[in-house]
Amino acid sequence: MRVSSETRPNPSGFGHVLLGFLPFRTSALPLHATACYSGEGPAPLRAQCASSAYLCSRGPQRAGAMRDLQLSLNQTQRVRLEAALHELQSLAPAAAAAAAVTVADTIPVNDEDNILKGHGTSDQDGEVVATLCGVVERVNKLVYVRTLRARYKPEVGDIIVGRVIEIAPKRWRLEINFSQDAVLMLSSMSLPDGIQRRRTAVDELNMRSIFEENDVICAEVRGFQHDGSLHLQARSQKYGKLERGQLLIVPAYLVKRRKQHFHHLERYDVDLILGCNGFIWVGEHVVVGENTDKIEDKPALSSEVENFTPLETRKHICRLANAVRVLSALGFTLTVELIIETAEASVSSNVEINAMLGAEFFVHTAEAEAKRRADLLRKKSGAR
Amino acid sequence: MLFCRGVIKVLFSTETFAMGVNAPARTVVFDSLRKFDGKEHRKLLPGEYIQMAGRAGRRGLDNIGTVIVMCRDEIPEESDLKNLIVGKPTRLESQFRLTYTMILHLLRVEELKVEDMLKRSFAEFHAQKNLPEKEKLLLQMLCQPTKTIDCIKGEPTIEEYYEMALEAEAHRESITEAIMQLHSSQQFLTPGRLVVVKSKSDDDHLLGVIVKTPSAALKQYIILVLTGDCMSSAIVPSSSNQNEKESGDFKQGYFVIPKGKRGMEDEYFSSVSTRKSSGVINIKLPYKGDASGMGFEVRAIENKEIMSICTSKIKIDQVRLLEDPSQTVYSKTVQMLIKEQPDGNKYPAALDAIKDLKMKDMLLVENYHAYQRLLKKMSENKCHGCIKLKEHIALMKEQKKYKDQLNELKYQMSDEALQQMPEFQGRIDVLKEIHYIDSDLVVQLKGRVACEMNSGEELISTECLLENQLDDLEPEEAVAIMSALVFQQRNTSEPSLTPKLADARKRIYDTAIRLGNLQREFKVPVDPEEYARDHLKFGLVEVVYEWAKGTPFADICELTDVSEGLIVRTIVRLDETCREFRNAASIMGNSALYKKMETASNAIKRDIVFAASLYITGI
Repeated sequence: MRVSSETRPNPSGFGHVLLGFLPFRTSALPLHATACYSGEGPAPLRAQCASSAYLCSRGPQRAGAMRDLQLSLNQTQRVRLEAALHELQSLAPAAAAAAAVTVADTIPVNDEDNILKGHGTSDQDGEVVATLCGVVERVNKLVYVRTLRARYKPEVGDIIVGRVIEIAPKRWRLEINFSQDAVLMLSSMSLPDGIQRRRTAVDELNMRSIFEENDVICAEVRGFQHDGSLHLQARSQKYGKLERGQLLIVPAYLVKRRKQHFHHLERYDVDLILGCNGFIWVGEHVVVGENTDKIEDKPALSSEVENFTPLETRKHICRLANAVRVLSALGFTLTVELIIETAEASVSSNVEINAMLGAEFFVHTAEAEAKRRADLLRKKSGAR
Repeated sequence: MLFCRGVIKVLFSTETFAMGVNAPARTVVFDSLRKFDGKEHRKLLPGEYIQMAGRAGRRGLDNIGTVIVMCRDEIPEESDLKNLIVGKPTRLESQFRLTYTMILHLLRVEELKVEDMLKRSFAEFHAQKNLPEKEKLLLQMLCQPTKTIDCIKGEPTIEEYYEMALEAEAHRESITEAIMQLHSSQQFLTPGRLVVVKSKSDDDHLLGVIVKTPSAALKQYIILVLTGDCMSSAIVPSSSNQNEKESGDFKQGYFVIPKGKRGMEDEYFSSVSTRKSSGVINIKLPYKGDASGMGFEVRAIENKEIMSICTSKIKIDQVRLLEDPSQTVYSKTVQMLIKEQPDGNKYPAALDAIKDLKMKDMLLVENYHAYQRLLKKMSENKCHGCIKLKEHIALMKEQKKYKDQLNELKYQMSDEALQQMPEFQGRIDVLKEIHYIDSDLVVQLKGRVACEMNSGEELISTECLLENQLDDLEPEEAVAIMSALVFQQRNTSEPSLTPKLADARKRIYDTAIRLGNLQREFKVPVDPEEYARDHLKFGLVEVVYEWAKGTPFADICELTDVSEGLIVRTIVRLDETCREFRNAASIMGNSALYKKMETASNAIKRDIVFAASLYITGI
């Protein structure tokens, strides 16, 4: 039995998740079948919300209202979108659906095994009860609930993109879409001249010349402080200030941890950084060179705004950024391949860059993804 | 410091002083040249001597540093001294060990690959030292222009042809070897059988006829082959040589011919009858000759030089060919051979291995069929009849050699050639198997827990935690079992354990054995028993249990024969382990374990074991 959201007090942080419990037809789509839009896991409820939103026949201006995208779909488009979303749902593996739980569900557990209770579980009257909505994971004897849409949870070694909000003595504070601000120590940052030395008072006074407020920075999580906030480090050449590009904010759960987060798209001469915290950077490619070169270039750069980004590159950057926006609005997991595919699909169907954020392309992308997943599934089952 | 300033004039010290402290002296005196290194009494090593003797002579203050060796009763042997003073110090050897913790930590970082780390270890030093040279060589080789083969018939298909030829050659060798071993082929290899023989000089094959089969005296086949070139000039002297051999007493050669050897006169009639040959070979092999416009040669060959056995036979006169060499007979044989050659170039049909020789072995039959198919394809290829074939094949051979060299060089420079690669691969497979990393080498929850474990063996600790083995234990018992991971001494007295502790001990031991087996399965060089025994030492379990329960230090020392210092050290390290387990608990999200570890840590952190200093009492 589903507990509807109205009767239950909303614990903080669950608000956006429980949005999905809007009362809709019970024949459609109970929670666990709102499956796999975003890759392997069950679907984000927002998209479901979208389809249900117009199923509940809300006004046309609300239909398809997504984060950042105000779309007005006409009738055919709505139908097509509905069909695509439905197909994506049906493609979801049933196994994932079975393991989904909501708050206060009992997790089926063998009583004989002494299981280890992990995150998202609690012991009530001898039963293991879920305290989060998500999927139950079992690792050896550990049982925990993995949330599908949750705030960013940092791990050591994550690549993140953040924005400087404050310069404090010997450190910068960055905003990274987390409950607390992250700290980048001056000593964890490589100096412009590249020499390894102790940071002196002069260095401290010149912190502004390295990063200023509102600069976008890429860094890596070094560890946690005792109060839970993050320590970052930006020692390598790849990290540091990001210029000449766009910063996009997407829900953090759409970026899964992979082997590689820095992508250099040679075809477009564009750098794509998928920050694990949901900040995505699309920008002109920066050649990672020796430190000494930077010093020589500096006078030249400051004197004039030389080599501005060529128009072609800018167009590519915009196209990729819009592709990311569309995909995040649809709730698909962001991978490089998918982003490139979407961008190329827009080129091949001759969609204008600004039209990419329109209704037609939105629906088209949903359909393309449904088709791609169906093909993949067929290939897999065929191969088996 | 006082010594360095000169306030203290004489210092008596152990070897340790010479090792790490920067305190040179004017004179160094060796009390003895032998030492005990923890395992045995032995002589000093040259390296150690150099370290200690090198202290003599302060820079800037002394012109000369003096080293004195105390002899006392016996003067050391000259050879010993020589070895000590001018011997080679111990070679530097890499002590780099690949551990799971290292791999997991490196996999968490995006920019560093584990292979890069392996490359930088000392074990790879020699290979990496030569790297720039190899790179230069590679560039040079790549810049060399490759000679293109011009095909006169249009598109060059020489590469395919060459590859087919190589394959065919490989097949042929295996087949002919098999054929020669077959019993039935021996029946066919009788005198008079036509065979195709591999020639020594080039790859062309020669048609020949078996003159004599191997016997006890001579283990080779005697074959008369057509060589194609006329060598008429060589004839007369050689035949005269033969004659000379036969009748040793005439020196002049050409004019007086003994009665039985009228080779020249026998041209006019050839006797059909064949005398029974006595098996003697009276000609010198290889015997080259010339007849009917074709050069021929009689030579002895091994059976593996026989390329194929032909279907046809001719009549030969063995006696006349070998014992009484007669030019007529040679010429007749050559003529017959020439007749057998269908159109001057191709060879007569060969015996079918399957039908005629009844080759039955399945692999060989398959080989044979493949070989036939290849031959057919080769003949369809345009290169087959090409006049430039030999030239092109030679070029191809060269090119292939060059390509092989290039690949070899590339391999050596690549990651695959690292010494520790196989072990690394094995360990990665183990980690994948137990789900510490997924197939994309992204670190999972278990891997993150394992990264926390720095004091004990990481796999055993993580498995122990995730199997919830500490669940039913009290904090005191839990910390007692954890002591097995940090205690470092074998051969201690057996502790007496409560039943619960004994159970827990067995559980963790079984886990270790299981992990050892798993590693061995994936080719990591680990022996399960040894692995379990090395990483789990249960000597102090009872001691730590008692200590955690609150027993005074004096009492717990009585429980075991381990020295007190070691007990203290182990318990201090245990505190660190408790902290790591606590962090692991927060990663896993289990608060009960977290609290248990905190309690355990507080239980052992008391009294003398955690006193900051024994000399200064503080609060």
